[in-house]
Amino acid sequence: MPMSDILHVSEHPIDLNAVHAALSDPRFGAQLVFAGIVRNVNDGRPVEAVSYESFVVLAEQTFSDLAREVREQVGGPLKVVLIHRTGRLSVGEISTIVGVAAPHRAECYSASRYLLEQLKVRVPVWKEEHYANGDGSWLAGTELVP
Amino acid sequence: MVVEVKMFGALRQFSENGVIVLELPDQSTVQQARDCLKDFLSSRFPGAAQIGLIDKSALANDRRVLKNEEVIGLQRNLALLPPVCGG
Repeated sequence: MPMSDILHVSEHPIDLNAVHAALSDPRFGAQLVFAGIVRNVNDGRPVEAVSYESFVVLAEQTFSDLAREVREQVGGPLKVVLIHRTGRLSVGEISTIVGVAAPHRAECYSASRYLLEQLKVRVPVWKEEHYANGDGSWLAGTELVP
Repeated sequence: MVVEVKMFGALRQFSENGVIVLELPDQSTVQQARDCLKDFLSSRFPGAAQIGLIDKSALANDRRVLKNEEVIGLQRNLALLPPVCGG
């Protein structure tokens, strides 16, 4: 893993300044940061919070795999930040960061999209929504493929 | 052989402290471990709908998701991973 990458699962709030600092590089004219944020409704049900759980060691290994794959696809210099929160998050909190930086925007957009879509189907993370009426529900997801 | 399986998501509630300990025959495959888990939980929680999730869940070690036909071998710590939904 290049020293500049940040690839981790954390129970702590995400520091966007640290994300931008990690992506900064005088060679790079493009920086793209996607933030996944807990929203207040899902399938018509008011949501108060979401609890995230992860198999951290494999999630971080998968982050590393994804960074390597996307770097091979881009074929040029690229910085990658992948962070996923765990624990109970309130509406409006950042759950996920997919950050990339590269010399030009085209690599950034393609890399960001690839990382985000792969994260959602390959990284072992689960979420339980907590509703306004006190109920909770684990959300359905995508089966992992060996 | 004894294998510890970490449980996650909707399946975690069926374990104590997030772990289920299985006694498996030597040379068991991943599929056999899955079947054993399903039998174990079905006997203790009859009728629990979430146990059906086991068929859709993957078994993994710390580095990768395992194929059903793989022999577990010397691995003693596995994880049962329900369908994922990060982001």
